[in-house]
Amino acid sequence: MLEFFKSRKFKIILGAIAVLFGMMLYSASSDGVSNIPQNLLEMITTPLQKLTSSVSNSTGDLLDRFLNAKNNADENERLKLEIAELRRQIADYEQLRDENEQLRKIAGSRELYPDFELTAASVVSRDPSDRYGSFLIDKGTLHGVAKNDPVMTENGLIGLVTQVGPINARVETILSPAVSVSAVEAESNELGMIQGNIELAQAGKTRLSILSGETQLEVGDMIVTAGASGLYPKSIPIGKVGGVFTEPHGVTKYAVILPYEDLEKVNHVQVITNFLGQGSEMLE
Amino acid sequence: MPALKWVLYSLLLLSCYVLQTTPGLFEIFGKKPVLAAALAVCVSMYEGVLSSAFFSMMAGLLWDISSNRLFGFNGLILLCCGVLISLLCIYYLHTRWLNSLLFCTLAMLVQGLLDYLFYYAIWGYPGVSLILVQNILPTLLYTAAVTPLLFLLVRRIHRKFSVVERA
Repeated sequence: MLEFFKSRKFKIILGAIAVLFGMMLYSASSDGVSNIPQNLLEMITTPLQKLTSSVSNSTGDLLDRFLNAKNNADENERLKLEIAELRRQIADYEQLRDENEQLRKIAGSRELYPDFELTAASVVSRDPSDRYGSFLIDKGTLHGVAKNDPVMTENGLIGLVTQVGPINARVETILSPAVSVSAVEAESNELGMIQGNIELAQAGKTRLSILSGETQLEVGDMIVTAGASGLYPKSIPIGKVGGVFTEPHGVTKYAVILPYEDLEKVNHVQVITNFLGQGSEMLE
Repeated sequence: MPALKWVLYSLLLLSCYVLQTTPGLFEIFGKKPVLAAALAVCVSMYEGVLSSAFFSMMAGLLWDISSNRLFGFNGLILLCCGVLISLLCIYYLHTRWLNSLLFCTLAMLVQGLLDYLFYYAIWGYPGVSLILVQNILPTLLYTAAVTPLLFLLVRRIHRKFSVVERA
């Protein structure tokens, strides 16, 4: 066996190890852009992943009707109650909107309307070793997707694009500690920071931190994006408050947030490739 | 025909990678097996050192694409594991399904600990120990559990196509 370590094969293996180290260094410094070998492998695997993903989703939907009938019935009842509550809120909202319109006419204020450019994408890959629900989508730079583009569904914010290749992109969700989103409570505009936590991520939840000790947040409050950093548009729903707790140091508080979208089961998303104010920070 | 054998291995690797990353497939309590790593271990038990090294490296690079790790991280780990496994099987150990279970467990343990160290422990995230208990360990066990099936498949391919002893 010792002869192996003096042989030419061992030197070739050492060379391969050096190449791999080089690729890792390039990957770390490339700011989210895939390298050439990675792009080549992705071009081969992404079409296959799209095929198996669609077959798996179709089969899963079919089986879900039979295996989860009771859960679906329970969820149906819960959603009916939620709809009734939302209808009451809509009635309040209509009244507030009319009042707001009147006040705008009086003040002569100008309103910025968000103008999203959206690209629809499908989830094609989820890795067994992933902890935060991140996934690959089947759209990349050739489809107008860029690094740091926000990703959402009709239910709410998912996360953002952290790495992009020609035909696919990696989306990291708001469950990850590496993703931060400035957020506000929808009615009171109380500001906080959405940032993932390992323990909460295992349960599909995230946290809103940097809340003052006198926070007025309550269970059920809606949390939306603040739009302050230029990374995310304003007022995209994120989730609802599941509970408010004091930080271990006792000075500030944090809230457990239940995302509106099931981040580990989502199959189709929308990438916001352009919006008004993208890349600009809010001036004080 | 050795070339055909490696074509089959490559198609098997591609299939394993696609299956392990398909959303919802083979998922038990939110955990999925890393089929590409298990296949790399099995092939390394039967093939030569250099070919095992490159096959394991390819398996690791494919895993890197989907796993949100630096490209080359899992490739490097699996390359080293493939070399060691091949050397052990050439000089010291028999190629048996029980050994495949052991090798896969050890390879996944090494990968899991390095992954935990570089992607969680050194960043100081609170609650990192949960990752070991609730994610790394179950994935390791699930992957090891499916390894014997891949081992039998690789053994069949190897016996059908190999004619000379490996160097």
